Parts: sequence; structure tokens; C-alpha cells
Amino acid sequence: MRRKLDAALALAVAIAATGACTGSIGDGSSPASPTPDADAGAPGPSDAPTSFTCDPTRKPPVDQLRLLTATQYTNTLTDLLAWMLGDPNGGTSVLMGIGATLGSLQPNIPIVPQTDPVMAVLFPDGGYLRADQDQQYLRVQAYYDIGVAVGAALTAPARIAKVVGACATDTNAANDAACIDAFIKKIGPRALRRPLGADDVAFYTSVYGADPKADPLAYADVIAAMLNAPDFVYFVEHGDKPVANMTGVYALSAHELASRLSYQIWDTMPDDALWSAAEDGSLLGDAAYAKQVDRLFTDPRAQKAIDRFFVDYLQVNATGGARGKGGLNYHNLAAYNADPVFKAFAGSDLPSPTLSQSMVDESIAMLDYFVFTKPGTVGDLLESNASFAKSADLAKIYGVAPWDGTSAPPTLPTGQRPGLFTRAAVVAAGVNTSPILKGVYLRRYVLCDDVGKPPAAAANAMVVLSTNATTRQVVTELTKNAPCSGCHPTLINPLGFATESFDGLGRVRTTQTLFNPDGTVAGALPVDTTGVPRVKMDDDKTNVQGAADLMHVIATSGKLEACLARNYFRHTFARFENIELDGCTLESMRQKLDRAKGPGLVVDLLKQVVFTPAFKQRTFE
Amino acid sequence: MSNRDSKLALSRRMLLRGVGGFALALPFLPSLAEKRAEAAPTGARPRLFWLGTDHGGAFDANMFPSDSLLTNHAAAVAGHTVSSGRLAATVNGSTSSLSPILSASSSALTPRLVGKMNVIRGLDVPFYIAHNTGLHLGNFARNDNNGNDGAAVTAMGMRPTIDQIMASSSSFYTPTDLAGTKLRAMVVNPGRQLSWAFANPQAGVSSPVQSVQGATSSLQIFNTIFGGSATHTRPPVADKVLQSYNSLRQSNTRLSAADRIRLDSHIAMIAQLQGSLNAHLACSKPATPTDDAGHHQGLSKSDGAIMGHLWADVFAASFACDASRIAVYGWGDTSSFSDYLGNDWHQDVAHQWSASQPQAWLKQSYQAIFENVFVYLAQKLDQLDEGNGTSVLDNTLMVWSQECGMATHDSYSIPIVTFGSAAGYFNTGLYVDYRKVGESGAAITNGVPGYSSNCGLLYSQWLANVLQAMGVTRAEFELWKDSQGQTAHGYGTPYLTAESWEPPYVKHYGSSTSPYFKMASDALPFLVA
Repeated sequence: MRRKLDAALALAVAIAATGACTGSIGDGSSPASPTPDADAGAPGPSDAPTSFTCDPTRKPPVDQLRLLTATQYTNTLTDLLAWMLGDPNGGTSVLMGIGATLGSLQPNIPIVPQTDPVMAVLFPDGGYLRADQDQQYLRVQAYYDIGVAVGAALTAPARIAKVVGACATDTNAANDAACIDAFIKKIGPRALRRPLGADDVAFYTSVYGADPKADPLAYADVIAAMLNAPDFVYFVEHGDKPVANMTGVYALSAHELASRLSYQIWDTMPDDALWSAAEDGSLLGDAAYAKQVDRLFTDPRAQKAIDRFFVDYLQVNATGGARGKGGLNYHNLAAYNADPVFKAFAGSDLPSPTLSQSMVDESIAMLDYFVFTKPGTVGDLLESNASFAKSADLAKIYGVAPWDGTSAPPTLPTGQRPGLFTRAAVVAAGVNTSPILKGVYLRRYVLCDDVGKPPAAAANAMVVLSTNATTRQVVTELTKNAPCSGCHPTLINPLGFATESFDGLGRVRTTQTLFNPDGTVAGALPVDTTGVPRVKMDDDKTNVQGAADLMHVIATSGKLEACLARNYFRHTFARFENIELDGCTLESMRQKLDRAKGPGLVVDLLKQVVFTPAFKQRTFE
Repeated sequence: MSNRDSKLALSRRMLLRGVGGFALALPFLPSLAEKRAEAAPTGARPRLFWLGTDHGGAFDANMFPSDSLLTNHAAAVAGHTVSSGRLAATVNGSTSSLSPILSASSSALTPRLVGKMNVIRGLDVPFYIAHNTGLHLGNFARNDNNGNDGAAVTAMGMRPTIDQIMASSSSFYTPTDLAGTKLRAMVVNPGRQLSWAFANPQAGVSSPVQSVQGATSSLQIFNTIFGGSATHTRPPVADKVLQSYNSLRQSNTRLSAADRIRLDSHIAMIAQLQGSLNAHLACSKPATPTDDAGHHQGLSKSDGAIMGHLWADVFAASFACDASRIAVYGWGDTSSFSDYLGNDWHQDVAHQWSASQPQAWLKQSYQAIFENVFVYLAQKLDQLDEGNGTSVLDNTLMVWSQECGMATHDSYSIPIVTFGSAAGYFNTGLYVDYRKVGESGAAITNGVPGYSSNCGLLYSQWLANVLQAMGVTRAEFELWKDSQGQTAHGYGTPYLTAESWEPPYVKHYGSSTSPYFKMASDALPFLVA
């Protein structure tokens, strides 16, 4: 078993590599589901829409109790403890002390953001962490162990007075009952993220026990119980006022909305300012809400949380590149270094152990730049000539100086490497450039098209590099006959061929060097990047000459705008979208990227979702 | 349940252990192999260990013992003769062999151990599911959907895997058992996820089915089972945590139906945790391991073996103490146990199973995991004396299954290798062949020149036999209906291929309501004592 060099990935390669498709063109919709299970057996291929129909009479699907992700849980613990201790570093200090216990928290398994049972079944890596909503016993046990450990840590002699107050340690028995009451009323609302009722106070008093005598163990139990409460580990939402003409739909309360907002933008609990806006109800006012949204977005925590979306979207949350572990490819490039062909191919660019991560970092840096530093559009993401490579080895591959992270980024030759999807994180995959995988990646995750499932017989087909033919020629030959010919020549291969101007390390090339198995050069042939990529699957006969053309066609197709909206929806709501029922939400998000209707800034998409009714309301039936 | 109650519920066997000082003086790691002489257990409870590995695709001749051993015959159904014979290892130098893959050091694979082993051939999943993680333990819906069969089975719905059926069975874990159970199932999946469970077992088939995310840290599982021995002066706060969930679930506050299902699931888990906290180990805490499987990547033969051994130590200690009686190890691919140096085991080796070099690597890797992980644990369990002349191994069923059968992607003749009798439920020391050898017009071919095989009995029958060996009743696992609305027998999805190019399953099995399916919960010939 190779967990890091996981052959699971290879399996993904195998299946995706044979990603020929069968079936007929469908409607492009996906069922609303927190996991891909319900999507199994979905038909394909289908052309994704470039806009969504908003029928305001349709209500979103019924919501389910959502769990905090492991990240959100940890962040919440850290922030809550810091608040309890009145020390910004206090939470981290406590959690470091219970590190072994905290380490038992099960990480989330990313759920593939696509109606793709193959990937979901075998390779859960690559997808949205927030969408992993399966309830796990080991995680429940970890919540418990952590709660107990935190309770003990906070009630240790050195901390209890700070956490509870002097009344917990003085010798005055007369104030013990009041001490308990005050502690519950102070800590409870912030831990549970809602006001406490009398029944809550009574319950936590009962946790303490009948004897009010100051007892650190009893306070520890109260803390542990709060940290295991449904309101702590889940987003418990009851709604407030009914929404007119929407049976079973309710507007969220101010506190529920504050939590949604905080976890959406920061992946943690509301801070004091947001809590206050919930407490006084002002958060329910449009202006105050917008002000809070702007405030949250300017906080460094927003970038961290949004980077988690980007990482999930690019499927780089495990070893590998944009088509990384469990996505469509696996390319921990340094793992190939012992291979004689790869060694000869790489030459002086033989990957360091950090090169793959540098490639990932560059892509995330580009997204951050066009969201936070110099807000940009989908066009910028697709056609920017700026390099964000900070490491020397990646910058050398790009032929530019490393970016310092603060100055204006170096510029690449116009049209040579436009946008996000020509960067090394996407195109570097080893000696084999894997045009099929690149094509499937663009089709599925950039255009949101459904290419269907590969026919059963395709799984044994392999792209074996030739000593006398380019990779394109090998792929063309391999996929020219049925059943592969149903999709590959038209819907998959051309999208991948357009970036054959980059070799398997992401270096620009005009010829492909061919190698013998021992690494000696067998020859070289010119690469061909032309084709008809059918960005719109229906009847698009647009020719492209290469990567720049392709990215421009995508940039003007409107498909990435719609696809990005769908992906951010999945991240936000931890479920797959329902094109019909979620149409209003999706369209309002998409329109923020529509350059014909406004600035089309990506950051506006990221903000818009929190203004949608779907975000501010909940469907109960 | 209070601590006092659970003490009263301790079985005689447990008390004997405690009194006798078996005090799981279970010296850990190297000395774990020492036999325990204390205690005199009665009514030993069965345990299940399941190792699942990727791919399959081993040649029959590499995987199975010689057909010459098959000297006994019986009718499985009318006209279908099956065969068995005593396993007999060949010793060559320091190697003991039943087949090229089923080989190990003669000091490990001893005649005693061979006598506690079974090799089963001819168990079919009669439809195409290619790459999957659900075949091993009966959730066939978890397949790659790379074909009409796979999609059809997926559409029929997810099933909990048998380990989780056992974990929630009141027959397998009786109240008395639970008084000493710290973790119902040790699910380990550093390589592959093999387990699924009802979100709310009490709701049965109306409950959603969820994945069971396995652990990657052997130390975490060790601490879960053997930690927490500190003296508590207050009752576990879990009681109050459970109360808080029940209070929300039963309140009149607005919740969606989906919310309530989720709460039910969480409540079931808290209740399980509560039981675990109240449970009392029937042994004293072994020494804490000094290494953790989670620190190993399994990137080499030696590292893979170390990882396997670290897990085996925890499994053995837990089984010996009855602190957990289920272990599922989703190993994943076996590449690290081979000399293959490339980065695409799946394409280069598994998919090329029929070529000589890839087959050699497959054989090498399967032999190595057999010896380094499977036999290693069997040895360890066999050295743990239950105190009544039987070993922990005798009361355990160890199973090694593979993702596919005799060809990668195909699911005929899924090879099953076992150790232990499950507390006497199974006969052992047998090589069993369930194929209907020579069935007219129903030969399986797989592209290898000269290859020919035949269909046998249903893999779902094997799973049902395992469940019953563990004491799980039919009523607890026959939870679904067949295509005619009758109780489906066996465990898994009662489906027969719709793919015309598949092996001649239809010719052999007839239909999904044929006798093969009807008898799929019945005892397998030869195996059941």
C-alpha cells in the first residue's frame, strides 16, 4: 500500500483516462444531495447551462442538520477558548496541551463536486470538505474526548479563576450557586451560539450537580457538556419568521444568521462585533448585514477560508496538482525521479520534493490575487499573463523571475500561458501530459459538463507513450473507435490537446521529445494544439490554435461563470445544487460574474451568496 | 447504564480473567506472543478480522492449492458437485507453501496453523462491478459504476457491510458482551474504505447508510480501547450529552425530518459511546505501544510490514480482551510488497494482470501481505490461549478477500483465505472448490490462452455464513426483498448480470430467484461444522 504515492490515484487515472462516455445528452441538472450517492447512475453527457432559470415560487430543497467540518470545529474551539480566557493565544495554548486528544479528530473526506460515482466511490479525495456530512462514531468519540480534556484543562488550578471567576476558588460557600449560574449564562450563549433559555440554564446546572459547592470537576463537566452539545457541533437552526408564500420555509434568526455568516466567511464562530449585531437584532437589517459582510471579508480569516474553497475546487487538498489525488490525475512529480525516462525528460528541472506544492501555491496565489489584491473577473482567471510563481524552480520553468508576493507579479509572454488552467498545477503530470485527463478536467470542473461514465470495456485501455508518435497521436489512435469514439474525439481530447504546448513539467514546447524506455532520445515531433474543443457541446465548431485560443473561447462562453457559481454553491451549502429548485440562488451568483451586467468580479460572487434568500432562510418541509 | 450496573453484568469469564490476573498482562508488542495461562474462559465469543486488498487478478495456479487435494465431493444443488480436501503444505527449505501466494516461512505457516486455515474457491459475485470497495463485506452498491450492472446495483441501494451488521447486532454483542466492549468495530482504512453502516441502526432499512471512516492511527484505537482508566468520582458526562440530544430531538422546536434523522444517528452514536465508557475491560491495560501505524506510510516492503504488525498488535490485544471483536482492515493496493518501481501500479500491473511480469508482481505482493500481515496476525492470535485449550485464533474468523476474482475487474472465484473456526462454527484445514467444474456450455474464459473455469456458489452465501458464524440471526441480516418481493437470502444485493459479455452467470445461476439465491443463507458445503 502506498498511501502517499497512492495507487488509488493511479486507479483514478485509469478510469478517468478511459473516460469515454456513453449515453445521451441529458438536462444538465444534478439532484440535490449532500453526497454523490444519490447521483449514482446519472446519465451523460450533457452540456452545462450558461445561466439558470429563477422561478421564485420554487423553494430550495429541505435542509438537514449540518456538522461543522473538522477545520470549523478546531477554529471554533480555538476562538471560544481564547474568548473564555481573555487571551488571543489562550485557545491555541490549551489545544496544544491536549494535542494528542485533539489529534483523534477525524479529518473530513472531501466529497467530489460532480455527479461522478466513480470518483466518489473509490477516491473521495478531491471535492468539498464541507460536503462530507457523514456522521462518524470516531468523530463523535473525539468530540467527547476533546470536550472532557478541554474541561479539565480550563479548570486546572492555573486557569479556573480566569475561566469561571474568583468565586470558583474562594472559600465563600455563599457565592457558589451564583457562581455556577453566572458561568453558565456567560459561557453558554457563546458556546451554543444562541441565547440560553431557562431550560438550558437548568440543564447545565444539573450537569454541574445538585451540590453547588465549588468543584473544578463539576465545572469541567459543564464545559464538556457544552462542547458536545448539538448546538456546538452542528448548525442547529429552527428558523424564525415564516417566509411568505413558501410553506415550510423560515427566515433564520439573527443568531442563526450570524453563525452562517461567520462560518461561511471565516470558518469559525461569530466574533464579538457580529455577536453583538445578532444580540441586538440589527443583523437582520439589510444595511447592518451588508456592513458585517464587508467587515468579515476584509479580515485575514476570510482569505484563509476562501483559500480552502479554492483548494477544494482545484482538488489539491492532497498530494498532487490541480488534477491531484483523487481528482483526475496524480502528479507528485518528484515521485517519478527514479524513472529513467522521466529523469532524461526533466533534465536540469528534475523536481524537488517541494515543486508540486509550489505549483499548487502558484494557482492559489493567482486566485487570491484576483480576489483580494486586485479584484478581477473570470476573464482574468482565464487569460492573465501574470506569474505568481514564488519558488525559484517553478519560476525557472516559467522563464520568469520569482514573484516576491507583494510587488506586481512578473509578466509572461502574451498568450503563452494564459490564465489558471495553463499553469503547472494543471498541466504538469509527468512525462505523459495526459491530454485525456486534461480534457476531462476542463469538461467537468471548468465547464461543469457531464461527460458521463466510461464504458465498462474502456478501463483496460492505456495511453502508452510511443517512440515514434506524439502523445496526441497515441491518444487519437487509442480513442478513434467505438465506444471511445462516442465522446473522446469531440468532447474530451480536443480540450486536452490545446495545452500540449506544455510538456509534463509545464515547460513551454513546440516539439515533443520521444524517449526510449532507457531514457535515450528516440526522436522529436512537432506538437499539434489545434482543434475544435466544442466548449459548448451542442453545435460549437469553433477552431482553436492552442491554449490561448481555448481559454479565450471559454472566457467568452459564459460557462465558467455558471460553473464557478455551481461550485461555490456546493462549498457553501455542503450539497449538490438542484438546477430547478436552486435556480434563483445560482443565477444571482452567476450574474455577479457576468461582465455584461456589471464588473463581473470574482470576489462579488463570493460575497453574493450570503445575500441570497437561500442563505438567509431554511427549508424545513 | 451506571458503572454499578455494568459491573454486575460482567460475565463469569470476565471475572475470572480479572481475578486470575489475566490482567491482560498481555505484555504488549514482542511479548504479546506469550501464551496466557490464566483464566478458564467458557463460551468463548467469536471475533471477526477482515483484511481487504485491491485488485485480485492472480492466476488460479498462483492463488490456489493443487486440485489434487480435492478428494471429497458433495452436491451443492442438484447437478452441481462441489469438492474439498485437506490442506497440506509443501515444505521446501524454510518455506511452507500451499500455493505460490499462500506461502510463508515454515516457522510461521506451521502444520498447526495450516490446520486452522481454509482456502475457498468458486465464490462469485454474478455481475460486473469492476473496481469496488463494497464487494468485500457486502455493499455491492459501492462500485465504480463502470458498466450497466454496477449502476443497476447501485440504484438498488447501499447496504451496511456485514461488520456493521454485526456491530449493531444484539446477538453478536449481547448486553453481557457490551459490558466489556470498548469499541464495537475497529475499522481501519489507511488504504481503502470498506465499511458502511446504517446511520441509525435501530431504524433498520429505513435509515440512510453512511460510510464508516476508518482510523489511520493504531495508537488512537489503542487509546480508545485501553485508555481512560483514570478513576472518576463523577458519572460520565456522556449521560448528560445524550440527554441534551434527546431533549432537542423530542422538543417541539422546529426541525426538518432530515434534521431528526441526523439527530437519531448522533444519539445512537452517543449511546454507543456511553456504553463504551461504562464498559469494563476484562483485562488490565497492556503497555502502550511505542510506535504508531499512523507514522508509517507503507511505501516499502519493510514499512508495510511494520504498519501491518502495529495494527495486528492492537487487534490481538483487543480480541484477547474481548474489548472489541470486530476488525476491518482496508489495506488497499499491495504494491509496496512488490519489486515494482513505477508509479502506476493500477495500470502497469493490475490491469496487465495477464502478462507475465505484472502477474509476477501481483503474486509477489500477495504472497508478502499473506505472510507479513495475515499469517503474522494468525500466529499472534494462535499464541493467545483462551484458557480452555483453545486459542483466540480458534475463536476468531480471519478473512482475506480481494477486490476482484481471477481477472482484474471480474468477480468470479473471489479468492477467500481464512484462519480460525469462529469458535467452532467452521471446519478448518480445508481447500474447498465450489465451482461446477466442467459445466456444459458455461465455461469462463478470461483472455489467457487455455484458461477455462466455471461458476460456483454465490459470494453472498459466504457473507451470510460469516454472519451466522458470528451468531447473527437471519432476522438480523435478511432485511431486504428480492425481485419477487420475497425475503432475499444471503447478504448483499440479489442481482444477476444484465451484461451479455459477462461470464456465463445467467447460464449457471438461472435467475436471481433460482435455488442458488434461495439457499444463499444456508450453510456452505464442507465448511460448516
